[in-house]
Amino acid sequence: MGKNLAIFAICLVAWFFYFQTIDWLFMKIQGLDYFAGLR
Amino acid sequence: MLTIIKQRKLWAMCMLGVFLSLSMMLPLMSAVALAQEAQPQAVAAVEKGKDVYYKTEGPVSGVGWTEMTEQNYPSYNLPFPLSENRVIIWVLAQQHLYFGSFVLAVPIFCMVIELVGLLTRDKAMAKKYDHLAYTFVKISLTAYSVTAILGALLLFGFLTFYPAFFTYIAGLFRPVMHIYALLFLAESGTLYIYYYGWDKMNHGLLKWIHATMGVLLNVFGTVLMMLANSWAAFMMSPAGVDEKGRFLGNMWHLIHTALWNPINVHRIIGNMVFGGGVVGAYAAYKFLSAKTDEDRAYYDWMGYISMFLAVGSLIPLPFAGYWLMREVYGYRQQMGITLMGGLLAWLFIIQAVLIGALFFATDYYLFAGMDRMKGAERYAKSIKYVLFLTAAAFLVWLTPHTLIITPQELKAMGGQQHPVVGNFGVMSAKNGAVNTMLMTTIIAFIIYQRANKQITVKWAAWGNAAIVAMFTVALVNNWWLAIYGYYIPANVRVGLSVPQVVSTLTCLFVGCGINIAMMRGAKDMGPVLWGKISSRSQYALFVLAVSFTWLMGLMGYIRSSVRLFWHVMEIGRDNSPWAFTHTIGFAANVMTFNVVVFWTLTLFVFWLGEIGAKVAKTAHAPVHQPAIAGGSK
Repeated sequence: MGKNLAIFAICLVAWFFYFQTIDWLFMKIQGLDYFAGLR
Repeated sequence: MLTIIKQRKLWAMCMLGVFLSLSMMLPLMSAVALAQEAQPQAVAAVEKGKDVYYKTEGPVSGVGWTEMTEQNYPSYNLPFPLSENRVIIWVLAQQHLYFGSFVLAVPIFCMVIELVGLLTRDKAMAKKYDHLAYTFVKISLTAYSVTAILGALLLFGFLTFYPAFFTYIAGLFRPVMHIYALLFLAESGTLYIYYYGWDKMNHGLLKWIHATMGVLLNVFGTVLMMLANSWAAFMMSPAGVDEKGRFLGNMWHLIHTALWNPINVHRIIGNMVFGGGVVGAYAAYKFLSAKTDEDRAYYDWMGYISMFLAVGSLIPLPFAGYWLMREVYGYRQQMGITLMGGLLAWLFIIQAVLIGALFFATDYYLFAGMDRMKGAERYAKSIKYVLFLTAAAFLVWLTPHTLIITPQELKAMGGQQHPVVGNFGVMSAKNGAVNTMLMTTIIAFIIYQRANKQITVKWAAWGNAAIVAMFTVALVNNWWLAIYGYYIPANVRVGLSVPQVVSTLTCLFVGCGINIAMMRGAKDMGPVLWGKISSRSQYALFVLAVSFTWLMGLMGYIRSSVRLFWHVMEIGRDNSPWAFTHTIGFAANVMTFNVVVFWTLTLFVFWLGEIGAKVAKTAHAPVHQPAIAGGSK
């Protein structure tokens, strides 16, 4: 159980970075600023 | 025997050569026609004009748009609504488009299924796929004749009800119309050889040639559709002419207008969704009327494949639609606003309801289909969460930006926009909602895929965690982008839809990819019991098919009526007595009438197929010979 949770946590973190990269990258490709609302 | 086979192969090669040459000749002929068109009519004193879209200069090579009067719209003075020529044309065009899209989509499925059959090593399955492809093309054959008849009726409709307008369009697109007619001829010939040669070309090289003819059939059909699209796209976003509507000698500019490619892509995908839906309805009809378990099993399987093809095409359709809308806004911002924020915006709410119905019907069918599998009960508890997410997204998806309300309600609410629910009426929320519905449908499909499998791969824990975590983060990321859209300028907000789409596509390809990899060596908990599915599930297939039909009529009406009082946008004005936009109620009634007419005709086509099958069975039934006493069998 503990091992499965650890695997799940690793996957969550990995996917989080993947999707954030996708968000930033595809905004960049369109010439838009992903962080426009956070500044 | 060997000589006969060799001769057959030779003939087959010759046939293929003829068809390939024909397909090569068509672009060549069009190039010659275009080159001839491009030549200026007179050498001296050539008047130059400026392209309204490409802004290039060219020699004025044709007659421009002539301002029309009421006399240009001959009418029979029939009672309303037939007093409006456009209503008659609307019905004819819609029926032609319904059948046209069906007969264009079915060969795509035939081509794919036949190829799958050819590549499948399991001989029994290969035969089953081949028979399925044959059943598909058999259904479309009668529909093909109906399409041609409706096309002729539409042409007569244009000639008699809109003669001046048709003269103008035909004058501009003359070479395109010639090529169109030739392609139609080529498509008809290929289709008949493809269908009638199915049994004769069933082995070895001949089978591959037959499959190649399936590819050719699709090439002809797709180019045919693209040429017809160029006329509709020209009416919406003209190019290749000057501000007076005079042709400037460049045929490519005339065809390649701003909206041509987005319409092409949207229609190809839309046709596949529609075609899958109609074939699925046929399978459901056959399933419900089947007398034997064997027939029930076959048509259950056919319904599943059709649904899979339709929904597989449905997933990229919103993205193609989004691209089309983006190009519409890019071409004329006012057109986009009329569509999505003004006069026609309420029709998009109806669209939202129908799309929601599609997702629900798909999920319902998949979950009902799990009844055929032993082991599916392990996933039963997760169904309610998937449906909850779908329902929540659906509610956001169909919430309008403004409401039709009484003055008292308006006062109580403090404006036309509801302080809470009104926030769901904007594009940020809609993008979040539709991507959520797409993701939940992908989850439903993944659950369905593994319903009767016991996964045995060593990395199962990693695989399961990767899939669950991916969907969790993708959903949260999708909602985050939807909410984030409220806090950034509009020009940046529009761009957020792209990473949302990429998130959904990641779920589709990576999610299904990991799932398929996990299926390797998986133990079957029992076979898929085809035919052992509830009758209710088959009605879900009917819901899918009818919703697709409605959607197509609705969106076609929206696309066409966005021109408002223009025949050709900003060039040719509609001066008919009925040059106004219909009320939503009237338009919805005509759409529904079109749906009823289409399904009545389709049932007729199914019934004809049934008669044909019975006649064939009777003709091939074994003749019972009296047995000779004591003789061998």
